[in-house]
Amino acid sequence: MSGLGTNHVQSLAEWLEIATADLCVAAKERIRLEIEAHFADSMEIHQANSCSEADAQTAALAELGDASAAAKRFRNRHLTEKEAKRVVQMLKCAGGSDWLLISYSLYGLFYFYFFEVLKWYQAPLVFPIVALFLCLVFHTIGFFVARHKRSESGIRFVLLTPILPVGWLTLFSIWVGIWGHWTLLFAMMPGLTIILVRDLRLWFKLGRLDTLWPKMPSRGAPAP
Amino acid sequence: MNFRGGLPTLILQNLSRGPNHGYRIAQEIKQKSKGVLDFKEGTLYPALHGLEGKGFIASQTRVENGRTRCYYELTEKGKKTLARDRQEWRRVSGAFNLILKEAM
Repeated sequence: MSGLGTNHVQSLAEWLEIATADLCVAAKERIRLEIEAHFADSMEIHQANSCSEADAQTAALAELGDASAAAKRFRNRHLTEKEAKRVVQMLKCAGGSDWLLISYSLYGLFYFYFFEVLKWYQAPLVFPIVALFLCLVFHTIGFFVARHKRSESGIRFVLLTPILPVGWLTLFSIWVGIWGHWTLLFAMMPGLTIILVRDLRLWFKLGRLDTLWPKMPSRGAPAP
Repeated sequence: MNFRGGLPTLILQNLSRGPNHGYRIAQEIKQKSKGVLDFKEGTLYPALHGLEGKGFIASQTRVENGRTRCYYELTEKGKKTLARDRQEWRRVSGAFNLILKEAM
């Protein structure tokens, strides 16, 4: 609606800088082209209605609305630079055989540690064994998907590979905590929760982006 | 009253008459509503991108008079959503009318 927010910017470049701050390069470029064309159309109409160039520019800028509010909306609709880099980094890791071997070793390490702890507390082992097995299966499938299936659904699947072990570790910590090992629960929960929330947010955001994220970067390509 | 939640439906309705670009969509909504619905561009484009993200509209870039324009068009998914939104709007506005008439 008219009059929403205030607009203190002096030029279109400044408006774009604020509105597209933090967004990935591809999103910045797309928004810039659209807004520039829109701004030029708007100025043309104002000038045709006998406005001076300066007045037409002021009116067209006012029509763009509050740049900070627009930035918030754009960040919900597009990947930020940080998120785009993270997606590329995750794909690179998930598709690398060295990373797969490191992951298997880490799983092995956690397996021995947690299972010793659980045995000590005489806790049931069925739930953690099933969860660990699922993580190993997903991680292996993720490895092949990252290497061969570079579609939007492919990315989302690959993103699950780090989310699942973190989720598994979180549940494991809770499980161990329930059986009496509170120190481990409190030591691991904050870090795990932060990672889990960050990755899950990115996973859901990619789901919302759908057609805005059709072009997968080829393996080893820089962030979009 | 905040009508911003209705912007996606207005965009879908506008695009039901054929492909269009952001500036013209904004102008047509403003003209048809006799100036009542005047959305800022900082609201319009995120809404357009959101609809595209959900697959309700598709975009295509064209160069016209040296300006790169993004044309949007309704997809099949968008047509179904618009039909549902129209039905919902009729139901809700009918209910509002019943209550407001009673007050007059």
